[in-house]
Amino acid sequence: MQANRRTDPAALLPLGAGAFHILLALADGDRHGYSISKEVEESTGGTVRLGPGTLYRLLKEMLANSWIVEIESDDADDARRRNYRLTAWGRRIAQAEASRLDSLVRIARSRHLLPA
Amino acid sequence: MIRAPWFVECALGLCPREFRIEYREQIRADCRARGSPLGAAADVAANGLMLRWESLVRDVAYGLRSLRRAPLFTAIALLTLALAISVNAAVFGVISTVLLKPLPFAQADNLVFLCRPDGCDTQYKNWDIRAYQDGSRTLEGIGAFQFAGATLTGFGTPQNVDLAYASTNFFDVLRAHPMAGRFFIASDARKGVRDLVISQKASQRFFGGARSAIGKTLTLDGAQWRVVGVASANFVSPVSFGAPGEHAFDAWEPLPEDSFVRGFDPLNDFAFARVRPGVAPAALAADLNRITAGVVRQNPISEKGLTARAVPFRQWYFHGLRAMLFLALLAVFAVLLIACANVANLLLVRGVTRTGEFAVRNALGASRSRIANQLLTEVVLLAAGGGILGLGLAWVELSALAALHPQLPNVESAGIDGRVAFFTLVVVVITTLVAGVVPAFFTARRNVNATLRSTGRSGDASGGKSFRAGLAIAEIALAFAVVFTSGLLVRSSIAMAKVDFGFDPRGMYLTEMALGSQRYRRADARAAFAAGVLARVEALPGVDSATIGRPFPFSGDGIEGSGFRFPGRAYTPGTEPHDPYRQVSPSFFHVYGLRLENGRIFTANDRAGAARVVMVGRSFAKMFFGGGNPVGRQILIQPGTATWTPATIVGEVRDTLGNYAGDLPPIYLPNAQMPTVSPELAIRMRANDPHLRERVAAAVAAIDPNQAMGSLRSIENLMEQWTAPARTGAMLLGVLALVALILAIAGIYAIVAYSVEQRRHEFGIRMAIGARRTGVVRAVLGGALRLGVLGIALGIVVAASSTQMLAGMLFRVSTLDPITFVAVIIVLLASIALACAIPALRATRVDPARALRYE
Repeated sequence: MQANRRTDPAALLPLGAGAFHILLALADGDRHGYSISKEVEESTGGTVRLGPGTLYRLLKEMLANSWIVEIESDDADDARRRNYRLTAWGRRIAQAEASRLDSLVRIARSRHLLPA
Repeated sequence: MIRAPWFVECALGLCPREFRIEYREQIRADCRARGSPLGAAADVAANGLMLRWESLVRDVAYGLRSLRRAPLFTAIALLTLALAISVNAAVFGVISTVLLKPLPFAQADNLVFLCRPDGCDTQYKNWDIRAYQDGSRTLEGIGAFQFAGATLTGFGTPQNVDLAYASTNFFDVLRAHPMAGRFFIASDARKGVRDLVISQKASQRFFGGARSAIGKTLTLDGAQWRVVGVASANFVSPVSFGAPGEHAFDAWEPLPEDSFVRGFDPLNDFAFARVRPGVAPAALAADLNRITAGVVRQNPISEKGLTARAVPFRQWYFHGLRAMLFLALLAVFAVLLIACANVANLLLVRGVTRTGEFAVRNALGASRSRIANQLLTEVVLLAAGGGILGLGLAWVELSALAALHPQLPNVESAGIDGRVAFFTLVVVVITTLVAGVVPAFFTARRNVNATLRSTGRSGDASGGKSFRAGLAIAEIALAFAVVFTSGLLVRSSIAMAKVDFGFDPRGMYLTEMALGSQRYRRADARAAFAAGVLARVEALPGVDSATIGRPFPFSGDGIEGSGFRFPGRAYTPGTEPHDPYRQVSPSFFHVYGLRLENGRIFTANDRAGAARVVMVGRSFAKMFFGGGNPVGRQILIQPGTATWTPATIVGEVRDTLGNYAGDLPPIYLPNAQMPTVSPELAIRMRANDPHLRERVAAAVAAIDPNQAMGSLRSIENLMEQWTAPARTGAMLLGVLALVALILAIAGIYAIVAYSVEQRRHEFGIRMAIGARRTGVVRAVLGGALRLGVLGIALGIVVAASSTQMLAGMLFRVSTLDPITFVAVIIVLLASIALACAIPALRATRVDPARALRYE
């Protein structure tokens, strides 16, 4: 069980909504905390908001499990900001969740719940 | 550092420390950037609590795993704590049911007895009571009553009823309500009114119910009484509470004002009052003193020595019991502290062995506070487990106590209720704090240091070592105090059991009668009744001898007269020696086996009309005649009369004890010259007769078919009742002392064994350079005994300060009894030496070569 959760992303699915959104926000580049929550809010049209407590709790957990890593900030005027980067393992998890959702959407299409 | 709005800071405060330190700055910055800091703060708070919960769950799971990995440690710690917590819960359970239950009276906190310095069975005159009643600004009312008995006729064979003469406001002061009819009104106290209140039980027994009893008549001592009221089933009379079966009255007659109820018994047995709400005890005392002073000023001779002190009901009922239970509570608390010390030591030792584990966790980023938290979680788990097991054990202990000692009031209903559970929770918290905090601190600190030092041997931090020595001293001190206290109680109960009452109680029986009817107003009728009954009882099969009179040893009831004067001396009334009178038939001295020392014993010729004679005991002669022969001397007595009448001392006998243990020696009067109104009959049997009661009742009926007799009790049983509370106290404390001793010695063993383990290396080197085995043994034992002596010295201080409360509970044993003192010191030092012998011997078996190899 323990080993599975370290090597097979499927064992971790489905992801919580917050976690998946964070992974999505980091998929196209490094971001600092506040930038992640802003990105999530914008990309969902304001329907998903990550409060700072939720955000950093999830980030801490993801760091502990090596889904993401912390990298040196290149933003000289705000040293407090720490940047986060998706690891390969984190990317695999995000992909696994995305394809899980994709297959669900395909089923929904075949049942004519969505336009083909 | 820029602070965020206060509610964000508060929300941050809810987060676990590590998370807060890690993300504080980012969260503050985010909150400034966001539009709605309030929503953000709520989010931070919610997630902070979630993180705390997760960490708690992790700690508990980790703690459980780690305890399971050390089953021996866990079992010993759990058992130790369960035992200690269980005795705490059990003693508190008894206190909760026996002492803390509300008294069965309305607004009982305002009820007080009026007492003299020597007791609350006060003997106040009616008009004293009226003086307090009329003069007081602090009392709502004063009730008074006397114990009495009466013979009830008209319902089969005559029977004894327990009767009280009660003041007409008796029920009003108690705020009781009748079940049917009414209670007394002022006019009931008028002469010739015969209104009676009966108990619910009596109404059931005689009339089949409360309602049908009203208006019916009962014949008491030959007079017709009309039942006007029935007390409710849950009505409890003052002094009945807490003594089941004793003084549970069947009926109440109004106490006639300004009249003597009995021939020569004008005094009330008890006076009680209801204090106005909000009156402070000091104001009440001042008020009573003011009235007393006024009464004494007006009647300086007849009222000399009058005092009244208000004693709250609760205090009076539980005086002796409270002291005993409080002592038991102190003892169980000492047991708890000893158990905590043991567990603390176990935790410290275990902390040392877990150095590696914590070093790894430390390296993985766990802070010192995380490790301390983890250790505390384990202690909480142990304490909680001990608490749950302890509650179960306490239930068993309470059942055992109820079975062994049913005379504690309410003890049969003692059990595990919400209050006991809450108390246990408090005990668990105390246990956690006492047993857990210091070891957690030491362990966490040492492990951080140890990783930094990274020396090969895991040395003992010096703080831990002196802390352990402190634990040992504290354990010995507490054990000494508990064992010493219980030793005193055991000695006291042995002293009670060994008391020489001056007579052999085996095969002796006691009963009594109340001669209340009109015909016994005359002394000669009472004398004739006594003589007739005695003659018939003496003739019964199996009876060796019998005597009639009052009061006999262990009858427990009051006297009918007291006091004497030497002729020719001037006395201020009330200043003469008030030795009690004991009216006896001549056979008394044979029945009780009192050897004649001087003179003669009463004879049948010492009857009414003949010259007045008395006999005295040895201690009387010692006290008043300097040990010389008192026979032939004259004294003045008041044999049921107000005038002082001369009487000659004709005989001197050995002393008896009994009711007068430690009291003034009695003066013996021939019952024929002062016939008692409540004769007691003492019978010595040659052979056991299961039908003795019926035969004696038949003998009484043959003399007076309308006269009832009380129950027939074995004197051996009565004696046992007298010593029972002392034996129970000694047994209870004895068991607790044994538990305390075993736990303390186990603790000392663990501490010394561990220190030997730590010093293996040192002992090895010592022996390598020529130390003898005896030297090593001496070093170990000497160290342990030094701790023992320090602990005992501290224990003596503890014991000396707590034995003060013991003073009233001890019988012929001083609170600083040297024999108990020395015995307890020897027992403790011997147990310590015995417990340390094993580790000391182990120290001598250290192989010097092996010890040096590690150097």
